[in-house]
Amino acid sequence: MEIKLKEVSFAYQLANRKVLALDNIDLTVSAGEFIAIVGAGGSGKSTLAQVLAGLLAPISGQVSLNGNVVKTRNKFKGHSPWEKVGIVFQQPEHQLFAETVYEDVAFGLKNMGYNGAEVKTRVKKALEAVGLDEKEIGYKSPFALSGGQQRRVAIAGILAMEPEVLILDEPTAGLDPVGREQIMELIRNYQKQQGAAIVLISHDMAEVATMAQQVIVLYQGKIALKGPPRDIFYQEELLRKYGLLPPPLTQLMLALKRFGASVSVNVLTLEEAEASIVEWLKGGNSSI
Amino acid sequence: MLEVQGISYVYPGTDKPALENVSFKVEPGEFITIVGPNGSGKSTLARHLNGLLKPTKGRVLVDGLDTAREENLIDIRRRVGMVFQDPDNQIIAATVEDDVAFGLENLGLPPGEIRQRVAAALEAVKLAGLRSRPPYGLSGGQKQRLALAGVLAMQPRYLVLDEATSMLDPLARVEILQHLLHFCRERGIAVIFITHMMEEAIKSERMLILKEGKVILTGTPAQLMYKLNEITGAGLRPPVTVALSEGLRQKGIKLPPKIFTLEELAHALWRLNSKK
Repeated sequence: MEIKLKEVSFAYQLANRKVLALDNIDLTVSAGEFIAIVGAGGSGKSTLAQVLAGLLAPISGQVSLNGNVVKTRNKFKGHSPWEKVGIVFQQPEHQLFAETVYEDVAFGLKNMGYNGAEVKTRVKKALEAVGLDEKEIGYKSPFALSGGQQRRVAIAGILAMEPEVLILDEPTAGLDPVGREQIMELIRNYQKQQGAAIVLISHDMAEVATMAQQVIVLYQGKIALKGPPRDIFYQEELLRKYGLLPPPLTQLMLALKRFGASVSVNVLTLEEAEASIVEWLKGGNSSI
Repeated sequence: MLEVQGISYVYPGTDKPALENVSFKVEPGEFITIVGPNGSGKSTLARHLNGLLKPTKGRVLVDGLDTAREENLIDIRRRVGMVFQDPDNQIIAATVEDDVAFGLENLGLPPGEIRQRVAAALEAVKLAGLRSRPPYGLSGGQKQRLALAGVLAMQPRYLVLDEATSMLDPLARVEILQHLLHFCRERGIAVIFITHMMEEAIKSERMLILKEGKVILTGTPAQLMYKLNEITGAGLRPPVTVALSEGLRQKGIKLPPKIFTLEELAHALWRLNSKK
């Protein structure tokens, strides 16, 4: 599955005026890719996610799926190509509603026309993918679970539909460190097992640095920067201009560099930062 | 002074206490952080500080006023301002400005004073530019800032922030926290900051770590940031600077102890290099 946006713009109607939220966006999401979208509050991240998911119709430009220009989800009756695109909204646990975890996860599947054994298998598999046991938890009320578990149930409901493109809007916001690690792990696994494309909206730059292959920086509805995290995150001045900061490790490496240390500013993980600092201090490279 | 004296709390219909024998004090003008994972009792504790919940055991005194006494609550809630994670539940008016003014009008303050306070509060959270916008058009982070402004304008003596900056982007978070602390310091307002990120406790004067309803550690950030077993055991993670410093020490880099800010770590490493 490939989603392609061509010169896409979108505006919200606010009271009596229009506010441009997306301004001439060109973007392709291809199978197996992991793209992160970052940007300051109000930069258009969530709007872009909803256009990518076929929920909002652009005021100009084109959206295509596998090369075919398509209308939004609600314009299709019955099966639609959008079934292959799943979106997890911010705080998705607020949308849990069914009496049991099982029914909640099965809801989307049933709407797609699945029934019987197929639903059961898929629900079990989706709950497993988010680290929950269907036998243990399937019959419980989703509201009896902890916040982190509720979030995972909500994500399971989307995974059960086996999307080829999975869009997630701030999936770890409000979760504690362990909860975050669980969500990141399950996204990574889903991508690996299904070969799915992932579009992750996040304001945690450290998370993005370790997960994404491509980073898109939005600023006032435009794509301001685009590239692999290694090429984006050391550009502190630009990031600040766009209302962002480099991940903490990069900030440290940049500070050392400013002192004159011969360390790499392109590190993404703790191990890389450690190795670069050790090499510098032990004098492997000539210091400046 | 805000005094929490040996409080325990058991939610109706449960038998495991959500809080167990928690005690601490907050002086006017202090900045303390309470850190704990989801389910550790942080929000339950927050809700005790202005009498939204009453302790099953122990008591909470706000400037000597007991939260268990119904007749104290109006006064207590004027003294203790609260901002929660979910801003949608806290926004009511048609414009940003009116929303901030709402609580002040209820206090019966003169219009001049209201205008002044609204302006200062919006300035502190950097929302002055959006003062005539309707709140529903704001982003999640902007709504959180609006909720903060509404409480700041009331000029409480104690400000409780329960994951109230969680939806802000990194730069906004740093900037707004800075403005907010400045605003509070100038007015002698104590800040009780509740979070699950150890990083966010770095700038506070004191911190408490909660696990399963109990305070397992209390002290200055310098005293607690290296209690790695306790931190991890509570379901938290040390700041990345601490994790990196420990890793470097294990590789034979002789860093001084207790480094936990980025600036300290960068300087310490640079000094090591100069000594070579």
